[in-house]
Amino acid sequence: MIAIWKKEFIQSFRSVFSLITIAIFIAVSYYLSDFVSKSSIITGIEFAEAGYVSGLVFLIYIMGFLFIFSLFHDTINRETESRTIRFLVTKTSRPAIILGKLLGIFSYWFVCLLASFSIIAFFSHQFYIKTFGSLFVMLTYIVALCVLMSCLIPKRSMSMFAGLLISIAIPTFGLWSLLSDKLWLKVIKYITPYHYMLEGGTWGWLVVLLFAAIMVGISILSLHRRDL
Amino acid sequence: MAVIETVDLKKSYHKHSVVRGINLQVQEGEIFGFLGRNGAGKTTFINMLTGIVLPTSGQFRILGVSNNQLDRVKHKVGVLPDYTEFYANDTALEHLQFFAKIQKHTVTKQQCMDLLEQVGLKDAIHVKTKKFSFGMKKKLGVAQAVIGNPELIFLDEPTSGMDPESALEMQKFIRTLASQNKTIFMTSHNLNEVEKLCSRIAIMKKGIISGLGTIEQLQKQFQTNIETTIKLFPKNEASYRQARDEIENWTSVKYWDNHQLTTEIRDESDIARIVHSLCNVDTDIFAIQTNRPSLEDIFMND
Ligand SMILES: Nc1ncnc2c1ncn2[C@@H]1O[C@H](COP(=O)(O)OP(=O)(O)O)[C@@H](O)[C@H]1O
Ligand SMILES: [Mg+2]
Repeated sequence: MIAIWKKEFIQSFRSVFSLITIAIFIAVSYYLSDFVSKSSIITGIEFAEAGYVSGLVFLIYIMGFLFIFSLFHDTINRETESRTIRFLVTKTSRPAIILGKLLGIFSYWFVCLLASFSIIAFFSHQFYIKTFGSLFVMLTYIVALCVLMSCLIPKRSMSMFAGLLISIAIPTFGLWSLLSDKLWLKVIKYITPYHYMLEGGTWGWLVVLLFAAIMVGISILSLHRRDL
Repeated sequence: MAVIETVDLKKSYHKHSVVRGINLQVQEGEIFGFLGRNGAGKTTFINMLTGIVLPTSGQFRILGVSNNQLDRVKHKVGVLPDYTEFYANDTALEHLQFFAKIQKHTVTKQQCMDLLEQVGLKDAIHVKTKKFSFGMKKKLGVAQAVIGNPELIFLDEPTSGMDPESALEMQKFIRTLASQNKTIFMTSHNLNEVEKLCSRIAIMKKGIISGLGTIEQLQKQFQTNIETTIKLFPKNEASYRQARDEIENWTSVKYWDNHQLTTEIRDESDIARIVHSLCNVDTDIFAIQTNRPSLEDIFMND
C-alpha cells in the first residue's frame, strides 16, 4: 500500500496538467493575498480571512471536480486497461491497491493546498486552519467520487467523459439546489456536498466525510469480486 | 507438502466453460509444466491460482493457504502473467524496485541490477519500458516474478515470443531457479521446452487435464503402439514365412515382403522377441526402425 501510495504521489507530479493545476492554485493564492493585504487596511481586518481564501474556495467548490477528474479519472482503470494491475494484484491485496491510490491523490492535494495556504499565511501572518480543513473535506469527497468512477467505468475514454459531465453537473445542480424547492433538486441537495458544507452547521462536514467513506467502501467492494 | 493443491477448480465466462474441473497437486521443488494448445485454458487456470481472476467454483490452496486468504502468501509467490504491459515511463530498474517494495521486500538497487543482468537486460537497466521489445518485456516480467526470492513461481509462457537464443537463456535461468529449491509452475505450448525443463507435466485439453505424469509415464500412457520396420533378407523363404506367421500371432503385422516386415508392437522389449524369431530361421537383419508418435502428436491430437 505504501509503495503504491508513493508511486501515485510522485506520478501525479509528472504530468504537465498537474503542474499547471498547482501553478493556478499558487498564482490565485499569491495575487489574491497580495491584493487583499493591500486593501484590508480599507475593508477592515474582520473580512480579511474571507478575502484571502475566497480564491481557493472558488477553485475547489466550483472547479474542484474539474481539476480532480481531469487529473485522476483514470487512476484505477488505466491499470486495468493496460493490465498492469495484474502485477499489483499478484503482489498485494485489492483493498491495498485502492487505498494506496487514494492516499497518493490525497497527498497531492494536501501538498497543493498546503502550498496555497502557506502563501496566504505569509501575507496574512495567519494560517487559516479551519478553512483549510473544510476545503480538504470537500476534496476528500471529490477524490473518493473520482476513484469510485475509475473503479466502475472500465474504459479511460468513458471515465474522462463521465468526469467532464460530473464536473459540470454537480457544482451546477448542487449549488442551484440550495436555492430551489423543486423536489428533484432537493434530492440532489442531499447527495451533493454543498448543502452540508455551506448550511450543515458545525457537523455538516462529517456527513460529507461519511459520503466519502461510503464511496471508498463501494470502490473496494467493486474491485474485490472482479476478474482483472 | 503440496505447494499447489486444487480441488475441482472451474471457471466459466458467460456460461462458456474454460476450465472444467481440475484436481492437481504440485509438490515442493518441482518444475511443473502445463502443456496445451492456445485456448486450452492454461492462462485462466494460472490466473485463478494467482488471484487475478476468481474461480466460478472449486477450491485451491497455495503454500497451505486457501484461496480466500491468498493475500497472506502473496509475498512468497512470484508471477509472470501471460500478457505483460508495463508503466511506459518507468525504467526496468524502477519497475523492479517498485514491485519489490509492494511486497515489502527489502531489495537493494544492486540486487535489482544483478537480477536484470541475469535475465539478459543488462543494457536496458535504465531504459524506459516504452522502448522495450516484446521479448524484453517478457524478460522484465520474469525478473519481477523472481524479485524478493519467492518460494513459488508461476510463469505463463516464459519464452513465447522470444528469439531462440534468448529462449535458451531463459530456460537456463529457470533451471537455475529450480536448483535453488523453488517450486516452479510454468505453462507452455512448446513440448520441447517442457520436456527439457519439467519434472512433471500436465497436458491440458479444452479445460481438463488429459494426461499427467513424467514424460516417460505420459509416453507409456498415450503410446500404445510403436510401429517397427525391420529390413531383412531371408535365406530360406519358407521358414521366413513360418516365422512371420508366428510373429503375427502376437503382434499385428501391417506389411511384409521379402525385404521388409512392418509390425505394430506395444513395448520396445517386443523388438527383441521379433528379432529372435527371425534369427532362428536364418534371416539376415540390416536395420530396425521404430516410429513412436511423439508427445507433440499426442497432445496435438484431440
Ligand atoms: N475474459 C474472458 N472472457 C471470455 N472468454 C475468455 C476470457 N479469458 C479467456 N477466455 C477464453 O477461455 C479460453 C481459454 O483461454 P486461455 O486460458 O487464455 O487459454 P491458453 O492460455 O491455454 O491459451 C479461450 O477460448 C478464451 O477465448
Ligand atoms: Mg495462455
